[in-house]
Amino acid sequence: MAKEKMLAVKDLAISFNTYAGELHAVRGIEFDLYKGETLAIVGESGSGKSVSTKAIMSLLPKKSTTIHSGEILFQDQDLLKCTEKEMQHIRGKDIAMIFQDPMTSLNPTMTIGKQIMEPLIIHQNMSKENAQARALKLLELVGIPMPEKRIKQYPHQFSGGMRQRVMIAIALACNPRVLIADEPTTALDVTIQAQIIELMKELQVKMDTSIIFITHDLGVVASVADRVAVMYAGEIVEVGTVDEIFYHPQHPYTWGLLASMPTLEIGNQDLYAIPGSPPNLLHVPNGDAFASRNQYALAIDFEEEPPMFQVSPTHYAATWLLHPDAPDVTPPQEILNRWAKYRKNEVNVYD
Amino acid sequence: MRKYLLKRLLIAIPVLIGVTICSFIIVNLAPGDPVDMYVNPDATLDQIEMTRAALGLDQPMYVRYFKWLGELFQGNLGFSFATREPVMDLLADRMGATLLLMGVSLVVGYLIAIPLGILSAVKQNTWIDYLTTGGSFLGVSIPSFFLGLGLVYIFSLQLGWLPTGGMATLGGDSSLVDQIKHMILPVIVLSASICGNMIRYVRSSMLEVLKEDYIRTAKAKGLKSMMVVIKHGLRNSLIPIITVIGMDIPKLIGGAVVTEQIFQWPGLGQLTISSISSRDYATLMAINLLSAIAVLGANMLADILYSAADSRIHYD
Repeated sequence: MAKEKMLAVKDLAISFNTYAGELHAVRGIEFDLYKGETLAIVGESGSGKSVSTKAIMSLLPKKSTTIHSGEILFQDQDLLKCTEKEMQHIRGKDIAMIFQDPMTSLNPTMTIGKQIMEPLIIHQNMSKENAQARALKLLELVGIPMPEKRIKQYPHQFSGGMRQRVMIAIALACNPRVLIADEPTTALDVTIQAQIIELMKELQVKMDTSIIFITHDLGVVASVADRVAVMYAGEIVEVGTVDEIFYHPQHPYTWGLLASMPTLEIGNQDLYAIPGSPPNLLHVPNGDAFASRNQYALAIDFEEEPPMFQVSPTHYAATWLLHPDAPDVTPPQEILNRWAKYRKNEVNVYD
Repeated sequence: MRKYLLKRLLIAIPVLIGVTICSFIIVNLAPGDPVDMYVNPDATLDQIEMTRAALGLDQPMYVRYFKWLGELFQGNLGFSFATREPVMDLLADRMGATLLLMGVSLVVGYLIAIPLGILSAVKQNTWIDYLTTGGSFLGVSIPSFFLGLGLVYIFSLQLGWLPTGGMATLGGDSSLVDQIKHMILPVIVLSASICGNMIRYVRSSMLEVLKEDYIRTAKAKGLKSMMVVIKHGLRNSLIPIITVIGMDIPKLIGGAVVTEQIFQWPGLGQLTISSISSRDYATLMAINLLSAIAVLGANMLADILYSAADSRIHYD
């Protein structure tokens, strides 16, 4: 699989200066994004998913953010070293972003048309007429009926799902090579979620864009992603293809995440929950950040951070359980049962 | 929109009548008899009564009110007690001076305040911000008589650069330069407070807007920071700014009583002071009515501007 690498993030570490102290939001993550693929980044709130992608766009507040180390390579250029001016040429043109809440992400005092035309005019030097024609095409592309009429309307005249379609149209306006979707479906209800995901998949094929899809919804991951990176406490703990993550997960945190995913048959059973809560990143614990919540934790987990162990050429996980000297553990029966169900149903709310 | 405005205009009529009733009562209850002002100290009782009848003050208050109202509907504001001129002419004379002074002060104030307010918000917590907010605080809190007298002392008495007051040099050529020279000090005094007030509103409104998600979207499109602030920020922070403008506009008419007095500016503010001290009821009533109309008009204008600035606001 010698695919073209679009984006390579290397050893990225970011912290925020807060009143309480230095918060280590991202602690040395690495991932690659290949041409035309969708990489899903999953993890709970505060695990550093959004922060890492905002760093790619250089949208983090300059004053309170410190980038300790790392490189973000895009077309042989380290984005972390780019000036604001250079970033302005990349943002919206080569790398575009869709945000979580379509209700607040559009400017309420500007027509939809103008908002879509903006990136076209600044990045492609289009005339107003050409930009408008392209905006109409884009609206049609993202499935907004009566684009001639809608283009003159304001965001408050659109529903949430429609607004997210408009956001997608804005993001895709300049045919970006990389599209970052930061929980694009979280604020939408389930049927609209499914439509938006379908739309994104369809457009990805048409435009051959690479997508980084941030979410905490594993159901969404199953339906959109080619590869998955699981983040916990500012680190990537496991990365692999969708099949590898769903059917052969190696990290106890991934086990927990998968076990806590609801299924259609679950009925009145209690959902599995990972005990405890994520560590306070103001005071990063020694060893594996997940150790205190991990029922399979080994003594070494509390002392030393596990490196990434290779499971297959595409599958890596950071857990000492993969060390040759580690005892053999199998996930608890509860989790195994659930996996059996997933496998049987190929569960996925969306397909 | 048209229907809404028509409704507002119709509501304005009873409001204005209410305002005139209240101010008529208050003006007439003020201590002191206006007749005393207009008779010779040696006048006989007969002469006093004649003057009273001539001023129309011999009738009960409600009769006088309805007479006044009746005349008002015919477009007649009565005659000034003090000068016997029609009040209408008196107001027309003074209005120009006040509109000129206040109009220039508002424009100057806003032209300084809006960019500074934006700058202060964009550069929040930097020395630019501290300097601007400090300056605006000073502008709002310094009393106009103090600032006015201070400026007159420095620029007129000590340096001799600018005239102490009036609208033009007496017997001068009344050229534009001369008029501008006369305006500089009062405009500084008035725009200091207008500007100080406005900066605070623009800054806080802008700070609020700059946190919004759509500002992040605009940045993610690759817009220049300046464009993000102006195109996406300013338009959205206009609502509070319009509210302040709506409150400032009545000052165009009400004038700045203290400032006009200090600089001997022949405007409505000065007229107000002089008609209070000469117990000139007719003129006072007209000034009150004019101020009330200005307030209502400015409110309506602000409403129209709201819906122009933000399409989510519309009236039916």
